[in-house]
Amino acid sequence: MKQSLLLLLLLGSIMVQAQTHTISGYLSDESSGEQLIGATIYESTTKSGTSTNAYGFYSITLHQDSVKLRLSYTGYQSKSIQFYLDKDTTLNISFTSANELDEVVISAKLQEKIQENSQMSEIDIPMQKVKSLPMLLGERDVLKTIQLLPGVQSGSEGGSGLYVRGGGPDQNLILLDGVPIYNASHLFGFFSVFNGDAINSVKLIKGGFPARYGGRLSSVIDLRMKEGNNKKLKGEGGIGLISSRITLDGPINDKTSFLVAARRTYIDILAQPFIRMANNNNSNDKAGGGYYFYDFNAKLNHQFSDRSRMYLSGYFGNDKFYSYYDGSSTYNGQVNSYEEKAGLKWGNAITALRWNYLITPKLFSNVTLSYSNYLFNVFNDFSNSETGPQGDFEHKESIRYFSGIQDYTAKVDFDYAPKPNHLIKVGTGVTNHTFKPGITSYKSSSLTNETDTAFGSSNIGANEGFLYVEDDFKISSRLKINYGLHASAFAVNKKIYSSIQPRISGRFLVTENTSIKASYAEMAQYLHLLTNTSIGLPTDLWLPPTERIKPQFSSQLAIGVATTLKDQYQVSLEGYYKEMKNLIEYKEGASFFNQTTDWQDKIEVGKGWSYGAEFLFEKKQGKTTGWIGYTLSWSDRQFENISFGEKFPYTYDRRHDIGIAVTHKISERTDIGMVWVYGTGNAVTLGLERYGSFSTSGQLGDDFYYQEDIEHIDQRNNYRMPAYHRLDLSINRHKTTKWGERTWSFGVYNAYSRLNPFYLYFKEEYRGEGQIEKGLYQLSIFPIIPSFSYNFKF
Amino acid sequence: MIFLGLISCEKKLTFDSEITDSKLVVNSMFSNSEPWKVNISNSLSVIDGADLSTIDNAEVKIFNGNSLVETLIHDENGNYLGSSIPSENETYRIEVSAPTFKPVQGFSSSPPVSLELLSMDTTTTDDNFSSNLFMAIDITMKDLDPKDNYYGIRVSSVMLDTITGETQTEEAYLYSDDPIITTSFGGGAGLTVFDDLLFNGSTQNLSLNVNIYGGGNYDEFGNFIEGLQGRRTIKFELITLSQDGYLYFKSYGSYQESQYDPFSQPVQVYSNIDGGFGIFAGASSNITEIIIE
Repeated sequence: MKQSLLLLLLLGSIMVQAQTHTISGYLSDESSGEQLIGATIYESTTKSGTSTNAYGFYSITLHQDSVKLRLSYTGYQSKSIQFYLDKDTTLNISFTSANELDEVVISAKLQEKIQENSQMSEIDIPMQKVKSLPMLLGERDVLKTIQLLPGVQSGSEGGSGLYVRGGGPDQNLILLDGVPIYNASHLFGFFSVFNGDAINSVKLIKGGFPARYGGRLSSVIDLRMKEGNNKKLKGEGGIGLISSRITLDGPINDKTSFLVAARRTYIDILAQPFIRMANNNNSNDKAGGGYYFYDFNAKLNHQFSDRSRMYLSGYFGNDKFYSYYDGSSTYNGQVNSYEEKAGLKWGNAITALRWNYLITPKLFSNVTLSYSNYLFNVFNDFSNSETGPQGDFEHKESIRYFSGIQDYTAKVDFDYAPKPNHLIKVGTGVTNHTFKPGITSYKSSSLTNETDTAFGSSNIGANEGFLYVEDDFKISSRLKINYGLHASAFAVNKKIYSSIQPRISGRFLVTENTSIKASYAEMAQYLHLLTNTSIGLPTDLWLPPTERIKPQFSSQLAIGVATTLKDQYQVSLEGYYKEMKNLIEYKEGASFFNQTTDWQDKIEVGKGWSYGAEFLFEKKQGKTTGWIGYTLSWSDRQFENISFGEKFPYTYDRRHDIGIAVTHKISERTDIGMVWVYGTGNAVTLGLERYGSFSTSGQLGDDFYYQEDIEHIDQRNNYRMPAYHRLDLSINRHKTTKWGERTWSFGVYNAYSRLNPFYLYFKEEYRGEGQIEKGLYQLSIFPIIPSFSYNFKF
Repeated sequence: MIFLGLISCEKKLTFDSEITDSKLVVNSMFSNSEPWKVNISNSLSVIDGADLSTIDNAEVKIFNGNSLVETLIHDENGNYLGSSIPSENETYRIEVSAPTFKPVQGFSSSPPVSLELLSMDTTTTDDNFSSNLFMAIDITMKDLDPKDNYYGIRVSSVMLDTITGETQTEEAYLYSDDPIITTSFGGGAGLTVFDDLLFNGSTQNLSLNVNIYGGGNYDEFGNFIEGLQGRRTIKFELITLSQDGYLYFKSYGSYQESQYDPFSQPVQVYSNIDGGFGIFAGASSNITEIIIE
């Protein structure tokens, strides 16, 4: 019924025709030619507006009349254009960056007014903010900046995991140029895979999802890579404590530009002398190990004509943790040589080929072909050989464990602006998934026998399809809605799941500067992540729905108020209620390391709830910019066979969460940044009491000869870790040089060295004379950590 | 990792759990084949390093509805014994009080035997070196009650010490990969539990593997033990459990399996003792004995 009403509304509202013309084109950065995503185009007479899409394209249809257009984008000088609109008109406009203007501060009015947008629970994260805020070890990190926003929890200390409005880390649709990334973290979650220098824009959506997005329950993080400077060759890079990075972009010819960005850590290289010292045992044996990650972004874009453009982009990244031992010994003339290599390796590879074609000024199309692959691999190779008078002998063993997921996707999207008060988006796509839920292979060979076997869960193939239609409909000057339907289906083995998900969000302007917003969205997720709650390793398994395990579904209702104060402060207050079905968890007692059991036998299926309120005060312009966010939230889970079916708090049920992020420009050469975060402690499971077990041997006729201690857990996640809080500070010193600009960045992570809990455990200490004292301890991994980095641009 | 190891630090926390009082722990599984027997002990905070102890001065009363059945008498080591035998299908309440402890209570009933053993085939292999015994047991059983029922299997080896005249009981290690078995390596306290979800009211085959370590004339290291009789009796018990008993042994089995694996999920052990801990559960058992020379 809800779906039919939305469809009727959509068809009826676009039937009426009138004498109209269309203004369309691309908005770009004047110096680089980079397309500006989300720039606003506002016609002040009719109070109609639109914004550029993910390719910098806009289209607005207006009645034949004199038009006064105001084109604006945060951080750029706004432009006003006035003309008589009597035919379809193409306007490609370039903007000048505020950084290139003489004024230190742009005094123009705030361009994007929060109350105007029909979308709620959506935040654009300026990349400049990502670069100027202090971060762990000085590594600029998009996802860690997102963690500072209300409604987003950070998970464990230092991790880049995102828990949005009570959802799990699998419920975030993280898109890089429209392609999903499955594991967005390096170094066991301490850093994200995104190189900030290669990113053009970042948008977070926590609720009221537009119909064009689907496939995850809790959030969309839409990252778009830069396209590459089409005016001249530019470079940007940095040398930090643990990694260095370089980005180059520029024109190949007047129609084609490129971008390449690379980053690598050098912890393994720096640690080599210490490892050699530790293994200096006067033998010829070699032992060592290390860790590194690297990532590489590349993009090529070509403009065939004013109406046709093509983009080819890719991301490739890997983490590797390894150790090796190579040695030999001699006994009675018999030489024994042995070699062992072991480690973990994981990474993503994605590529996307996209073709934009402007069919008419009102109809924009994009076709995407993409590939995404995440692979986790554990390896252990051992070989041993003996030669000598007692004979020759050779033995080799190799154990490998693989898990991952691989996608091939084809999709097409259309943006259609038929009338001044409508912007319609329609699209469809299909994805072929291959799930690799964990296979262990074992090979061994010796003189006498040879073994080659594999066990675990076999690969699962599945196909997913979707179709959506949405309309951004300005019903009156006060009322604007974005409504639509997202239909999807998933076929795995002989089972087909489908769902039709209604989406609607809207705003009602109470005054010129204040609006009330509301939204409702249903979401389906044909994907599960089986994660161990006690550790955060890349061992987490991506799994499909099966005949036994259904897809995840959610519905979310949100209501809020948004206002702009004095043209430079944005304030929003939102309340939300979210229900989630078919969530999965490991069974009580189940372990990742039991690879002989099928994953479906190790899990429980249940439901979850999340509700709360979020407050965001944001200042986007002036010398001092930033935000203050506060979240009051509850998040619970319920599984039939966990906690005996009772509802229990989610691990990241965080009653209070505060994030303050501020930067201040002291002068042209100096800016400072400050981050302060506070969060209620994570919920963990601890046995708080102990008692003696029942002994069947005693009860059915024999003596009580044996009882074992049981640690009593009254509920899953029954204990709260101490609260988390931390202050980070940074200072950036910029200098313009003959060749470009260099920046020295100094930062302090956890400036007052708060010992935040990473892990809790009980420990026994012997006090002499048989006295044992047992206490609860926490492990803190990051005390105060200073950092510096050298960054440059040319 | 080296870097994290160098900078990470440990800090002792104030354990802000409100648990300071010790609670009464009741452990009893009753059946219609023997008089009441209950063990009473105490609980402690998890950070209390003292040993758990049995309670010898408790008052242990058994009620049927509001009628007192009997007050149990303390025997030794926290064991309280009764003279009456529980009846089938009756719901009993246990009330326990002791000085300095808050009183506790629990409810359960003794279910009638609802599982019939139709046939049993065993194949026994001796380990000549250590006298360990390995048995494959195939049984056919019939669920007699169309309601939800809960069962347990326990296998033990009973031998007579010819010098002392006492019997020696060795509990068997029992495992099965049959889908009806709830816990992969059996339930808690040596009881392998299952429900009748997959064979409610019908006949079911079940294959079990049983290892009996030690026993015989040799210990597990092959040392000869004086006085033990070469002949032993294998007791095969098919137990009909109350739901309380099933939940306790199922969860306790998972707890035992996972307690030393740092990567396994935590397990809550079931208890039906209000105000305290432990289990008060009814059961009925069928015992089949196999004599092995």
